[in-house]
Amino acid sequence: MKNLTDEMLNKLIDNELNTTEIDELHKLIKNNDELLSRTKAHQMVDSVLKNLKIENAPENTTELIMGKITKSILYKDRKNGFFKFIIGSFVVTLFLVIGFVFSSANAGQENSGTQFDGIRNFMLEFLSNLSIPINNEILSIVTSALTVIILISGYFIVEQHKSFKQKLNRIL
Amino acid sequence: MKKLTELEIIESVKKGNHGDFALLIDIYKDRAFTLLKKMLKNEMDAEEALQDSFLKVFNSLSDFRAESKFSTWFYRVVYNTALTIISSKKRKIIMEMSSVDDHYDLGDDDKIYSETENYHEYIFKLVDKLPVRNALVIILFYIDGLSLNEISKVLGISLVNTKVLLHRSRNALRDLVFKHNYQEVLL
Repeated sequence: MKNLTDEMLNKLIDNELNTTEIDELHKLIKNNDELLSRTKAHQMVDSVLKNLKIENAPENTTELIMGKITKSILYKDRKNGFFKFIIGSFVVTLFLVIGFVFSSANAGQENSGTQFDGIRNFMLEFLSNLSIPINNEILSIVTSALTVIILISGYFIVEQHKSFKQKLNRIL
Repeated sequence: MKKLTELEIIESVKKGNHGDFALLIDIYKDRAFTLLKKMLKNEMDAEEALQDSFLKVFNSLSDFRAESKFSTWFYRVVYNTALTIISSKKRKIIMEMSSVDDHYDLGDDDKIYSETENYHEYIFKLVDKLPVRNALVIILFYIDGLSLNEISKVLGISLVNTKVLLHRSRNALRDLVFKHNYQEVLL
């Protein structure tokens, strides 16, 4: 180490010099005031930078961010809940219509003049095209299945509402 | 009340205790704000970017696998958020960040020298005059205590270039300290 380079000064600050190199550096700066001054200036920069000031974020930053997060969570939950509600309602309505058509067909009664006639006739035609044999036994099974599905759907809607309320309480 | 570690806070938030995210905000908000202000050179933009950064961190916290330090991952998000704002506003800063090898000049330091009362203040003001990426390396190294390897991951540059940025910044500051004989205070 004949010359004191910038690299050496940076290594000195970062404690990357071995003992031999440190001894050589000390010998160099001992006999040269300018090198000594440069070394001191370099150490001074490092020492000041270690005390670099952190700027404070605005006071209500945490509250603002948490407010935005809460809003985004609620929005997501509402969006998901609304979507599930629409799908659920559609499925339940579909099953109710089918159930109504089956029960009307089973009763074999003439309901001419009711507003559901059109739907019933269309569904019966559609089902007859599918060649599904309809009798009392099948009708009972379908009705039971529908009841179970409606009950399960109701249970899930209540559970979802409960978990949403819990989530809301955790956030707030 | 037991003080939670960073990883415990993250796990708690992942489990659904979203309120605990406020603890992470309190830990990082000031340091992230310092970094953003340095990059964006505007307090309003820095505030906006700070909020965006934390929202992004919250929304993608499930992706954090603790394979790297949280701080490295967090500052990467902050850095990228600031870059997005810079690119959208097409500031000249983006030009400053184009290359590590760019020559830079700290300008008229005599004015700063005449306006400062001591060497601490002088050096702090000079840091503000450094090119953005050099200043970021200084902040991440000295304020946030990140290693050069972690800084290189945050900035998306090589370890060698990160080291070059740190050394050049120190050398530039040292030359100005030397010019005004501030080191005499230590002699």
